[in-house]
Amino acid sequence: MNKAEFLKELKNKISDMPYSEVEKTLSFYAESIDDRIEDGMGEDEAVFCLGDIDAIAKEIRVDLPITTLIGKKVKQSRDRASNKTLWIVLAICGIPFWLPIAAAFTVTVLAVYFSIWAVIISIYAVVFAFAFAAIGSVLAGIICMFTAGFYQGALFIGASLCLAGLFIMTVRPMFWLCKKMVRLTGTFFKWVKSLFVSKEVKA
Amino acid sequence: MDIQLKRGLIEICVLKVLTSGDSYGYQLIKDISPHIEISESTLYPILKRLESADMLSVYSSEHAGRLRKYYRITDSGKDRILEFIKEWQEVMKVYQFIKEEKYE
Repeated sequence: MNKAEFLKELKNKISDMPYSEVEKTLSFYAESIDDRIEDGMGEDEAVFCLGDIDAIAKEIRVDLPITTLIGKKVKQSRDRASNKTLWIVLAICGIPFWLPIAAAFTVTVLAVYFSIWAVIISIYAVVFAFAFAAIGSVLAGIICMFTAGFYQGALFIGASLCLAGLFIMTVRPMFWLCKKMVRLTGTFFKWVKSLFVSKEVKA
Repeated sequence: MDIQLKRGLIEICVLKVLTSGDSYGYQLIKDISPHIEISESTLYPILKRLESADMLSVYSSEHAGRLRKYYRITDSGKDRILEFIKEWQEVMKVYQFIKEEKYE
């Protein structure tokens, strides 16, 4: 395969992607072929070195936004159905079936996503509550010393020391845990995305 | 090698190569391939990711009558290398621990 054939085939395989993305990708591979030729390789050899064209197309696709991926999947299955009218009729008649399923899928994905974030926010809330309570207790302690008496004030200040200790003890594990959970949302999102990427080519 | 691990390593290799000067796609492959297996199809998404993470910047420059894209490391790219080295000191400790056992 020569350079022109390679670029044409790659363009066909990624033609459903945004125009600017296609242009960037093609110019990257064209540049690499030119550089290899300049380095003394033959044109066919240079193209061969780039690797399997399907693998290249898949690698690019994995990095696409999820909306583009879903759009492509829908287009693919529509193209596969030979009779377009039949497909449209089915799509319309099937609304009572596929609409709830699609809605349930979306809601489930969103629910998992928001739950993870809710946990992250609540962990933050708990830890910072320790800090605020500690500050509040110190203030209360100082005021009590002058109004209610020394012992009541000391009690509040003691409580604030305990709360400050709790804050210091939990703040680092909290950051660690939250970092892990943010990564978890990333992994989850990637998994959802992988459902829309065809598994024909091995990564 | 695990594919995610490999991608992560190549990311750092790209940044490391760029610390000694700006470079372009094919040169990066030539510089990295003695250390880890790499091809254009792996490198391209990595470059895109590093660019969107602001760890490198891209500019075009003329070479032999055509435009060639060059990549330059940013400060946050350099920070990422330091972070990697720090992280991997811990990984190496675990590696030593695993290696102690004789697996025959």
